[in-house]
Amino acid sequence: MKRSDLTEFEIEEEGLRLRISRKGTNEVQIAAPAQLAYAPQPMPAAAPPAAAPAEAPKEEGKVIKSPMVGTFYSSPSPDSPPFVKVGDSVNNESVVCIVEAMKVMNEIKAELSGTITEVLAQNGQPVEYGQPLFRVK
Amino acid sequence: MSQTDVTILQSLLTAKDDFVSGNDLAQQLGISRVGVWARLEKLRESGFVVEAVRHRGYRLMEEPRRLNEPLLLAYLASAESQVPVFFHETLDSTNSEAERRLANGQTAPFVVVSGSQTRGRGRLGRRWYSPDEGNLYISFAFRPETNHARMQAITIWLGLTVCHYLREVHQLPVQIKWPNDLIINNRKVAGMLTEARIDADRTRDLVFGLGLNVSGKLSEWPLEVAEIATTLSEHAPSVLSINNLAADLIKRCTDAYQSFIESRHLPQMLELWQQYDAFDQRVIRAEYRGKMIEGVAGGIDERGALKVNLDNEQQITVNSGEVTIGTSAWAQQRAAEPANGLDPK
Repeated sequence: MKRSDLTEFEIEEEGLRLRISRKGTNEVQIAAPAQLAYAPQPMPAAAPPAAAPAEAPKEEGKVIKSPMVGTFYSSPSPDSPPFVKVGDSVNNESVVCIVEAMKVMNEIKAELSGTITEVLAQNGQPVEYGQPLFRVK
Repeated sequence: MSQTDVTILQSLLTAKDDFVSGNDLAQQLGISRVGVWARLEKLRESGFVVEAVRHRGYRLMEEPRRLNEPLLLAYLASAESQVPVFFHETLDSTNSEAERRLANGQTAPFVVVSGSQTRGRGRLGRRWYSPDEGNLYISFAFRPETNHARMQAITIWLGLTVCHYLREVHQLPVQIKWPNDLIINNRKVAGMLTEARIDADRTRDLVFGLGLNVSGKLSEWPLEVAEIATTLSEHAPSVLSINNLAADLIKRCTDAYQSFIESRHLPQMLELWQQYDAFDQRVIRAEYRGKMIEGVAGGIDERGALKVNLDNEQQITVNSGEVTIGTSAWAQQRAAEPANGLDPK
């Protein structure tokens, strides 16, 4: 990096974001935010009937990302069914989850059409801005 | 509900301890004196105590203890509140009703109040105990149509607005517990639930719900609620009018929303938080990036996130999840130390 004129670069892949930036002359800062904590973990049978395969195949497809930092909730309350599960079709207006930030419960819409093929976040888990939440085909 | 009742009540409220003559009322309303008398009889049936003295007129001695539509509207008119208010004797939940009205295209802002709730809810579908007498259930609906990041601190700001009002106007020792509970002596006196719908990066609409324990009888509440709750009346020096409270809060919160959306709230938000923060400099336990951490609470930042000072002198901010009082030995010791260089300022 030092040999180049780069001062900053960022890689984002599978929920892991690595950002390296050079501030001032010598100093190199490496900021790898919390994603490490939830880099692709095999999903326990959390998503009940339609549990995703433990090793998710590298699928082509679109993802629904978190528009904010917060806590991910897959259902409106602990004892109600999830907004969506694998196999459900969604459209622009479908509510897929809630992301809570500062106790504002934000209902997140799919903003795209297709079929949910994978749920990428776990109920109650913290999520970052731009983190993929669902894979859609 | 008749507008006549609202006008009569408004005259009686304005007169306070003075009498309002039946003649004046009759003239103002364009009805006969007998007509006025008949309306007052009706009001008495709904819990008003009105004194009538020959040659002097009428005087309001006592208000109903329940939420009462004409009285609420009379107080709202006195407070010069312009926002439309939808009144219900009972509802599943005021937030749900507000959301239905938004979905049906109702112009915002507007307010939904209810005398009771059958499915009052808190965060994550938790039940909010909603008996039908002595408590307030109010929801405010807005269409911010702005980036959701700008709306993050709205619960904090409106909660502070309610807290400030109760302290300033009613001398109640209310504190705010990050981010959305109002407490008196560590017992919950109000809860807030904000629900929003996001389109891409914009907040399409948002409902702020407030449940306030005013004068309910704790002894009749379920034990698990009564143990952690309190009511305003238990701490109030004088009798509180639930209808007056409702009207004042409607006025204050809709004004506060306006200043928030115009970004005029910041200096006051940070200042009020310092004054009323229940966690200030206390050791708290919170979830941070998937792990439980303990640290010393040091107020909020401009987005409303809680600042926490860790033992390695690092400061983090928490913006979601649960926060409780911490328990570790380190944390206790740290909290006991006087100004220790960890001060966020």
